[in-house]
Amino acid sequence: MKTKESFFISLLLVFILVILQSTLFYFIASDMVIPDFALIVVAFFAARRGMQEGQILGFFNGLAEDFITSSFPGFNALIKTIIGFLAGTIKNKMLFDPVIFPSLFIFFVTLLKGILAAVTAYLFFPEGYFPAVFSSRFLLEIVLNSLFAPLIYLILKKTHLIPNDIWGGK
Amino acid sequence: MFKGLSFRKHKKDFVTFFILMALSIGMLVYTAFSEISFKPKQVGLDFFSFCQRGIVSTGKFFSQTAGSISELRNLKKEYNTLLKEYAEYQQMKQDYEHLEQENSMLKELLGFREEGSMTKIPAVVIGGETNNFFKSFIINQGSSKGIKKDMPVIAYVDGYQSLVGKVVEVGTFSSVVKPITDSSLYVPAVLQKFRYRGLVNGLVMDFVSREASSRINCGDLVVTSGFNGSYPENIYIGKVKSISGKEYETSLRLELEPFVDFFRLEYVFVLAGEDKDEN
Repeated sequence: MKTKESFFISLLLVFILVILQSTLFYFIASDMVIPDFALIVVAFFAARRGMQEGQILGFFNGLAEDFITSSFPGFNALIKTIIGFLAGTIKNKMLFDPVIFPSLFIFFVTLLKGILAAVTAYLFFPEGYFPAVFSSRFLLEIVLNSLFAPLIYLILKKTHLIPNDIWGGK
Repeated sequence: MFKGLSFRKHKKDFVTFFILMALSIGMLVYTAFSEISFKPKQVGLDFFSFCQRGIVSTGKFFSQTAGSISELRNLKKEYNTLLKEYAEYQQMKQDYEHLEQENSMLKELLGFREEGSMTKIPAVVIGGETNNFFKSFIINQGSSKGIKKDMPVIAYVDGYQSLVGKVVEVGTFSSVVKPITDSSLYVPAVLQKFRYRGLVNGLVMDFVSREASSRINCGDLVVTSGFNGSYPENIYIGKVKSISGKEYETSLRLELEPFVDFFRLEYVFVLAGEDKDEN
């Protein structure tokens, strides 16, 4: 699939995931933790397609979240842009196996999300308005994201949203 | 990872990165340090809430259709029970009307002015947070129905008005509500029985006078005090779950158990202001 085509499909997929995360998954999960599927898609897309596509996809993912959450606009957009950019730096540099590396990769990406959220909140949020970054819920999110990562990686590969060739290939 | 990541080679990537960063930081700075609400967020909220509404109604349609058979069986049983209760209520209604008449007569005699009741705007919860950092949720009513920022939101739990939170963001057709479980929300509260005041923040009631330690028990009810006017008085917040406070401190710290089950919340009411009786 062409880069432009796959970018727009991924963008649509990310928007759908954001809406599903805030509705269907929110009601199904009840008081449980919801994995950040959109983040996983952004990270894999960036890692396989590069910084440019990754950061733009990340920016729109974050912006969509900013619109439907109580966080300040720009908070999620900033975090996801940085994640998209950094994840894009490993394009053509690492080899992905089907299970372990995708899990490990998403583990660190989610951890990075938490660190960036804490730093951004510290810099821009008023006192008392601190996101629950250092909570058991967030730790569980890291675990859940890592568990779902191989499945989403497989789906993205099968649907050709990310290149199907071996890691490091053109 | 960053080896070979030169600015020259990836000039386009870096330029885009700086533009996106500037946009994000610009939005953050504007909203964090400005009192004016961010218009694009309201537009975005309306757009996404439109999609959310569609998904929620579709989901409800399927779950209601699937549950309709067992519901029919239950309805038959409930119908018979309700018939019996109806007869009792008829009698109670007559008594109530009699008491109400008597009450208004007595109030007139004492020269009391009728208290204004709050206008309640009913709303349905159509979505929640996408990440686990915050705890807000989205309702299907916005400025088109008269909802404004900072309006209190309540729900009925076993017939009692219970505080849910307050509106923090308003779109035309939807709004974002921050629940009282969020640590950025402060609610002036009072212990219903002994009238000791305090401040509820993230389901912890602080600044309760130490004098209260011998009188408060677990299970005591906490309601809004109406102090500073941000929330109307006497709305239930929760029950006292635990009492703590160090020897040298002058106040107690009460942990509360909320009345509202925030994860099963479907219908809420936004308190839009008082409908004052002209008399």
